[in-house]
Amino acid sequence: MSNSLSGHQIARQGAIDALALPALALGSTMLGFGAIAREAGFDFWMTTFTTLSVWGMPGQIAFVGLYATGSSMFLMVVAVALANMRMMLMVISGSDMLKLKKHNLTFFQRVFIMHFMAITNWAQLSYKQSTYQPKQLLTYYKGFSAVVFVCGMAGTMTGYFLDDLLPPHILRLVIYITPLYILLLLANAQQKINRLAGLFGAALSPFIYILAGDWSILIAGLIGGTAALFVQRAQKTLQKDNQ
Amino acid sequence: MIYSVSETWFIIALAALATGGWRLAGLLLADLISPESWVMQLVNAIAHAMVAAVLILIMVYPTGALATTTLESRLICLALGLGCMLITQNLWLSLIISLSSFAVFVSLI
Repeated sequence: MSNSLSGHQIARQGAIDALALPALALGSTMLGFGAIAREAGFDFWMTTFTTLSVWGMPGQIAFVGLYATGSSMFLMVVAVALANMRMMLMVISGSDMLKLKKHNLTFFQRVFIMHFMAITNWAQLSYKQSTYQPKQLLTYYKGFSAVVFVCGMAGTMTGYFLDDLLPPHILRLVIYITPLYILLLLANAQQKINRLAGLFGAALSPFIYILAGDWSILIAGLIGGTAALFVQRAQKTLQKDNQ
Repeated sequence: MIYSVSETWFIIALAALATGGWRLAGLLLADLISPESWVMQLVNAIAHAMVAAVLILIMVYPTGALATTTLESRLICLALGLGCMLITQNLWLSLIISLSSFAVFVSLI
């Protein structure tokens, strides 16, 4: 445990860890979003405000994709709600990892902190959980999130104006980084049950997708997470029986 | 259907609410679930499974620039990175191995 570090140093470490790759990777993904949003017919402020207020990349892509094809308002809202349902679980799990209850924050401060909870930040928390004490982890999260958010916003705005900034054969390499980076973090999650859940979810979802489309994330998550819990329980029972 | 400017702003506001609503629900529920309980373990496990599912779907059924690469190249390079991560536990080494092999694969095709 790193006790001797000051708040500034920890926040700076978070910012540096973000800049080292994840923030730049997310910025490039948002570059793609900005370009798609312009093609779909959004103006600059609509595009910027969507990233600012939704801050959940897969939902945003689904949203502008449907908007471009002229889908009904109902379908768009359902698609975004469905794609971002995981936010609820990530916020519960993130509050638990950050021990948010112990921090003496007002409700609005907590709402503000959780607005930035998205896949990249959450996976980083899961990865860094045991490196810092709860108080330090929140400081780390703030430094990390601020940089990721700024890069995401900058990427969105740049993507809107310069969708041909990067040639396609470079862009596809850059876009590969975000899913790769986060899957690697998940493979190294601190607890075995969570690694197992990630494995189950990843293995199931492409097949469920063929049958259930957008619902597959939810279904694969529920089955994968529940199965992982059962496996862990069964192993504990076995260990007890053997003793 | 083509939407007017004000209708589009309205839809964006709904999309923001549809996401913010889940975050708010998460904050309210987080207070009710005790950290050591099996419910919290289950929520954490489902969150991990869902996030892994989202990212694997991006890998298997991509849109945009990534869709111009082959499925095999994306999955083989992911497997290389994951294998390296499990053996060495070194994030940067695994990333570099996976990404550079992806760059080679993509430029060959």
